[in-house]
Amino acid sequence: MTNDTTRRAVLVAALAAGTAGLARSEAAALLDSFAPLSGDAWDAADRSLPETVESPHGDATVRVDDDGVPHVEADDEAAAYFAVGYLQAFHRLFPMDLQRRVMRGRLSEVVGEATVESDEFNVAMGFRDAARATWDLVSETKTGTLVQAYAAGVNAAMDAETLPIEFELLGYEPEPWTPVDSMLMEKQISWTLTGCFAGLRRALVADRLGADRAAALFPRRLDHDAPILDGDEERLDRGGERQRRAGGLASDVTAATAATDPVDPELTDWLSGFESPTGVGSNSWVVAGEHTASGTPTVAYDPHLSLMAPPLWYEQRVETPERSVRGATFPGVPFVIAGASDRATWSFTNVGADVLDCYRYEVDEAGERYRYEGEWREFETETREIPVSGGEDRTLEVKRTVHGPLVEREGRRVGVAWTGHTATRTTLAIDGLGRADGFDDALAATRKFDLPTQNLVYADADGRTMYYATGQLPIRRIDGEVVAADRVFDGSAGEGEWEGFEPFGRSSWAGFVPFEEKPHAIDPDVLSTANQRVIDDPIHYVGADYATPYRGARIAERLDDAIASDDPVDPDFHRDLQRDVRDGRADQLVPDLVAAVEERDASAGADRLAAAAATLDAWDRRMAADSRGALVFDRWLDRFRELTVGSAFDAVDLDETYYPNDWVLATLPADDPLFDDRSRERTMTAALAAALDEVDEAGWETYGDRNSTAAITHPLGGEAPFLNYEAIPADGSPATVMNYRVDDAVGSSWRMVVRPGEDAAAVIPGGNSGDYFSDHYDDQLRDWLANDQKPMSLDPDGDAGETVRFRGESS
Amino acid sequence: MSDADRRDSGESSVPLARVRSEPRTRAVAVAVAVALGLALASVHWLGLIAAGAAASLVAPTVRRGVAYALGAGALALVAFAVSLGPAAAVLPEMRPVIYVAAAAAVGLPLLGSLARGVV
Repeated sequence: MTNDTTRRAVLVAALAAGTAGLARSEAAALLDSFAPLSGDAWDAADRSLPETVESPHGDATVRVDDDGVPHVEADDEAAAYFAVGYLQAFHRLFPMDLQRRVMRGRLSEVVGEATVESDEFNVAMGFRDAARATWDLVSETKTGTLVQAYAAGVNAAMDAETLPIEFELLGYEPEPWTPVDSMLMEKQISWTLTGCFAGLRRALVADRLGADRAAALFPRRLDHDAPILDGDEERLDRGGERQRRAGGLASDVTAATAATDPVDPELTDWLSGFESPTGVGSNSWVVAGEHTASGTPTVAYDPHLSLMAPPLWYEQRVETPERSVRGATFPGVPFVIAGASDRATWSFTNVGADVLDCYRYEVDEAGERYRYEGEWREFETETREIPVSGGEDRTLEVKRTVHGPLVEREGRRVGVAWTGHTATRTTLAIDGLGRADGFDDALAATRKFDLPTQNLVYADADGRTMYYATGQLPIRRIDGEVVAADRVFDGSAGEGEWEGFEPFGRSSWAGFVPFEEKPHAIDPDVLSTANQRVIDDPIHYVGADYATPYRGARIAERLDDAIASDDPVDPDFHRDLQRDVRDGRADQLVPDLVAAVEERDASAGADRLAAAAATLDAWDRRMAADSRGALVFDRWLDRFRELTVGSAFDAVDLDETYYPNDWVLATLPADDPLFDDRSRERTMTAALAAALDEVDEAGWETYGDRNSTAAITHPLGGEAPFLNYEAIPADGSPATVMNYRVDDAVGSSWRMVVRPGEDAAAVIPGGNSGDYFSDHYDDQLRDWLANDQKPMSLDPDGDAGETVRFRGESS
Repeated sequence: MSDADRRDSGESSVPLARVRSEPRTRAVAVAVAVALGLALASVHWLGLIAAGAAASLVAPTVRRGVAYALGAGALALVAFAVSLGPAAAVLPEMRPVIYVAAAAAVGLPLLGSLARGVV
C-alpha cells in the first residue's frame, strides 16, 4: 500500500509539474499560437472578406476576381481609396508593416538583435523625417485627402479583420497606419532605386588599384553603342542644345576624372550593405502605332526588383468618375504606379542617375561641430531610441549638417545628400498619371515626379508616345565649375552643393536640371530602355552607374528586326520578347572559350574539357532551364570571373562586391595585367575545369537544377519555410531580357503588355494575396515563369469572386 | 467493501468502477469525456490535457487509459483539420509549426493520462 501511495503521489506530482512547467515555459507561447483547435495562429487560416464594411467616405463596391485582383468602383474618389486601403491591408498588411518598420528603424523591435544595424542606418538617414516633410506638402492637395481616406481604410481593416499569420509568428500587432507611412513607402521605393554609394566605392577602388587601373576596370562609359536615346529624337524645345553649345557642359563633365581621397573602407563597406540589391533594373519599350498590327502604340514592361513571397507588387483596379485605372502598385501606396488607364499606359525603369552625394567634413575633436565655409557649426542633433526585442535597446545620436544626414560609425563619418531627403511630389505625379486624359495631362504629371529618377515610357490611345527621364537631377559646382558627382565632396568647403535643396524641408529645386533639359523624347517611333546609358552626349551630367548593355542591345535588335520584317508586331511578339533568354555574354565569351580548349595541350582531364567545350559550341546560348550548355556556361562564368579578378583584388583587400561588371570582364584584352600570371586562355580552361567539378559535385544536370524559384523566399521563410514558394526550374540570367538573378533573388517582378484604350495583360511572380491560406498566394507563379499573362481588363466580364460593399453613413 | 475501503485498497469509487466495467456505460462516458475535453481544447491547450485525463479515467486499465488519451488526441487533430476547412490541405506543408500542433495533440493528452494511474 505504501508503494501504491508513493506511485500515485509520483504520478500526481508528474502531472502537476508537467502541466505547470509547460504553462510557465517558452513552450506555452508556441502552444498558445499553434496548439490544435485553440492556437491563435489558426485563426488566420479562416480569413475571408466581409460582405459589408461601414465607410466614413461613402459607398463603394469591390469585387475580388478569380485572380485575386480587387476591382474598386465608387462615385467618390475618397470612398474608392478607403476601399483600396481596406483591400490592400486585407491582402498585404504584413509586408506593409514590415517595410515601414525597416524605413522607420523599428525592425529590431519585432525581429531582435539581427537587424539592429539596419535600424541604426535607417534612423541615421532620417527617412521618417523625409516622409513627414513630404506628407506636409501632399496633405495640402486633393491627393492628400485620398491618402487620408486610404489610411483610414487600412486601419478599418486592421481593426475588423483577423491578422495574417505572420503577426502571430512574430507575436505582435501592427500600429495604426498613417499617411506618413504611405509617404515612407515612396521613400523606400526611391531608396531601392537610387540609394547608391558608388562615389564612395569608386574612391576606394581608385585608392587601392590606382587611378589608371580603376579607370580601365570601372570605366565611366561602357564601350557600346546601345544607349536609350540616339540624340536625334524630338524634344520639347532645343533650349538645352543652345545651352550646351554656349557652355560646353556635357563633354567637359563626362570627361572629367574625379581624384578624391577615399572615405574609411569599413564605413564604405557598411554603407554599401544598405544600397539597392544587386541587379535591380528593368525593361520597357514602346512601339508606335504605325508599326503595330492594330495601329495602336504598344508598351511592354517588366521591372526587375527583389523577388519574394508575396511579390512586391499588388494589382488593383479603380473605377470612379475621375479615373479608370488598373495596374500595379506597392502595398502601402494608394495609387497605381505602373499600369493602364482607359486612355493611356505608363511604365518606369531605373535610370541609374546620380542623385546621392557624399561629403567629408573637418570636425572638431569633441565631434560636436563641423567646419563649414570658414566657420564652426554645431551639428543638428537628436537622440533616438531603437527598441530591440529580446535584447538591449539602443540609443542613437542622430546628426545632420546643412547637406543632410551625417552617418557615423566607430568614429568615422560621412555626410549624405539624397534627393529623397526633402519633400517630394511623386505621389501627386502618380495620382495624376492615373487621372491623365491625354498627353498634356501626362506631361504635367511627369513634371511633378521628383523622385526616383526613372525612364518613363508612355503611350496613349491618341497614338502619342513619350520617353522622359523623371526625377530631380542635381547640378554640382566646385569654384563655379560644373562637375560630375562621382567623387566625395569637401563639405566643409561647400563643394558640390545643390542649390535650392532643403533637407527635411521643401526644396525649390532652383539649381537642378530644368525639366526641359532632362533626357526625353516626344513621340518616339520605337524606343527601349534597359537601364543602359541614357544618351551618349547628355546636356547635363546624369550618372555613371548604368547597367551593362546586354538586355538593351538584345531588345533593340529584336525590335528592329520585327519592324523591318513583314510579321505583325502584336502583343504576342512583345510577350515573346519578354521571354527572350539569349545571353549576350555567351556570344562574347563562348567562341574564345571553345578555342582555348581546342588549343590546349592534351593533359589529364582533357577529354572532359573537350566534351564540355563541344556542349558549349553546340549550345544556342539561351539560358533555358533545360539546357546543359547554360548550366556549364553559368558556372564557368563565375569561375572565370573569380580566377581573373580574385587574386588581384584580394591583394588590395577588395572583396567580390567590388569586382568589375561582366561587360568589362568579357572585353578585357588578353594583354590586360590581370592575365600577367596566367594567360586569358589558360584562365578560361582552368575556370572550365573548376566549373565542371562544381557541377559534378552538386549533381546538377541542367541549368534549372540550380536556377530555380527556390531563391524566392518569404521574409520569415527561414523560420517558417512553408511561406516560401515551391522550387521550380526557371529560365533567364542576369544578362537576359527575361531577367532572373538566382543569387540575389532579383528578376522580373511584374510583366505587362498594353495597347492603350484597346487591351492589356499582365502577370505577377506569385500571387496577388499575401495570405498564405489564400488560393491567390501563389496561383500565378507558373504563369509568371512561362510569361503566360492574364487579361488586365478595365471592363472585366462576369461577376465571379468575392464582393464587398462599403456603405457610407447615408446608405 | 465500503468506498473508503476501496480507496484504501487502491480501487476506484463505485460509479467509476461501474463505468470502467460496463462497456455500454463506458462508451457513453468516453464520448462525454472526449467531447468535454475537445470543447476545453478549443478554448485553451490545457484542454488537451484535460481531454486526455478525462478519456483515460474511464478506461478499464491504465494501459487502455493511455490508448484512450491518444485517441482523444487523434480526434482533436481531426476536429482541428475539419475546423480549418479548405485551408487544412496545406497543413502537411506547414513545417515546422505543424509539428507543434501534432506534438501537442499527442503529448498533452498523454500527459493527462497520468491521471488514470492516480484514480
